[in-house]
Amino acid sequence: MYARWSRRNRVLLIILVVVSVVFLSLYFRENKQGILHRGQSVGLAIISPVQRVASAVISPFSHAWRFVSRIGYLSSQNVDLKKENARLRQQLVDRNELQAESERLRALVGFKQRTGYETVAATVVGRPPSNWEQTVIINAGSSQGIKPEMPVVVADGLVGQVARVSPWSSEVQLIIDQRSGVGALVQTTRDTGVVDGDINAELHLDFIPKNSRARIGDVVITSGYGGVFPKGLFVGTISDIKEPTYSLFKEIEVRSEVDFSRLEDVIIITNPPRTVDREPVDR
Amino acid sequence: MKLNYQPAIAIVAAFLLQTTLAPHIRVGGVQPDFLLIVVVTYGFLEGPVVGSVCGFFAGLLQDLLLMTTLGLNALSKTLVGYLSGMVEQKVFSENFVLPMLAIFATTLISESIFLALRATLGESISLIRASRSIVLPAATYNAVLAGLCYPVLARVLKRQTRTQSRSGELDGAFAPTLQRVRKK
Repeated sequence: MYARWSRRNRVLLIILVVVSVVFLSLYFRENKQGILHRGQSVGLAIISPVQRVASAVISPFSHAWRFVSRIGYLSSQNVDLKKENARLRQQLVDRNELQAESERLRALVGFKQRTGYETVAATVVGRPPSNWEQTVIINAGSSQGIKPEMPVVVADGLVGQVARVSPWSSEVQLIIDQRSGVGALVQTTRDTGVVDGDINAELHLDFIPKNSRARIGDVVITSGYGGVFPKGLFVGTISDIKEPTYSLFKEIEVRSEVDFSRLEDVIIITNPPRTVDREPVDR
Repeated sequence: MKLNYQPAIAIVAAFLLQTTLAPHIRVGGVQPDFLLIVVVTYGFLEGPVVGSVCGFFAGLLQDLLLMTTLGLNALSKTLVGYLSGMVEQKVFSENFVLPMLAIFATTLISESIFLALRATLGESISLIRASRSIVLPAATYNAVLAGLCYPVLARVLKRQTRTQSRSGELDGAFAPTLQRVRKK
């Protein structure tokens, strides 16, 4: 071991270090056209084709190596991406939900501004447990000023009326319920009648005489008769007209624009104008 | 005295591996330094003279052909080759743990010298960041590679020893090593 520190070794080391330092010094002193820089350029010209060929040969193995060496990373990245994907998907759902809610509320606000009625907004929180009833439960009750027989609407038209009230919720009888009846008139002909529901959740306009000039497509609105619904609320359009021989009246079907199976937000009109004496609505 | 071309061939072979294979087997952004492994191996085998000469020429070749600042690698590898030659030659054995540790240490030294030289030449380098992202990973990679290579090298050298001892060729650059291995 001691012999390794011989004078010869040290001299050789010093020579090599000095030569290296001289190279460093010359390299920094000369410009890009200097002999050392040009030597490097020649070296690059020599080594480039070798690297190119080697790269072509090694590439398939290199790709395989990269794949194997990245398996762990890719696996954890896959888990992270799945989590992020789930989070983003939920965000998208929330965003779409907010957008839909915003559109519904904007329509309801528009209705309030157009009509000038005092209203209370509510959300549908329940459906009837029976197939025979067409009602919904809303999350507004007497504590919000809701009373029985108050009209319930959405932007697409008349929904029904409040049937029962509790402090924090109410039951709304839809106009498609077979027990419901709404005083209505055909907007173009001014023929008055009653819109009622049936067991199939369809709307019919009754008591329109055979000599009426009502036609398919005519708009049906509330007449204000009965004192429950204010005049002028949109009910629907006439979709079919029949004239049975055995009856004095036409059989008219009305199609509502309201999707009763997808009601979410509704408006309760809390100060409906009572211009006409009350008549019983439920038959 | 017969001239031994084996170190030169080994350096050229390592250089070819360095320029062709090493860039394709990067792990964590670092590639192995085949030239350093060869230089350190010859330092262990043949002592400081051969180690430093191998280091000088390997580094110079690297500087010339890889467009680094001429003299940087030559200087750092000369010093590492010399230092590895100073280490007891017990390091070279079929036990691959010692060579691994030795390569790990010498890579740290080599890269540190390289870093220090670059910093001296005015480059702005964060030592902590460079150590974390380059020096330590490179040392680990070289050590693992050395652990894989050494058992093979040991077998080759033993076979060579037997062949050359039969033909009486025990002089040259490898004479001390061959004699030592033969004694085992």
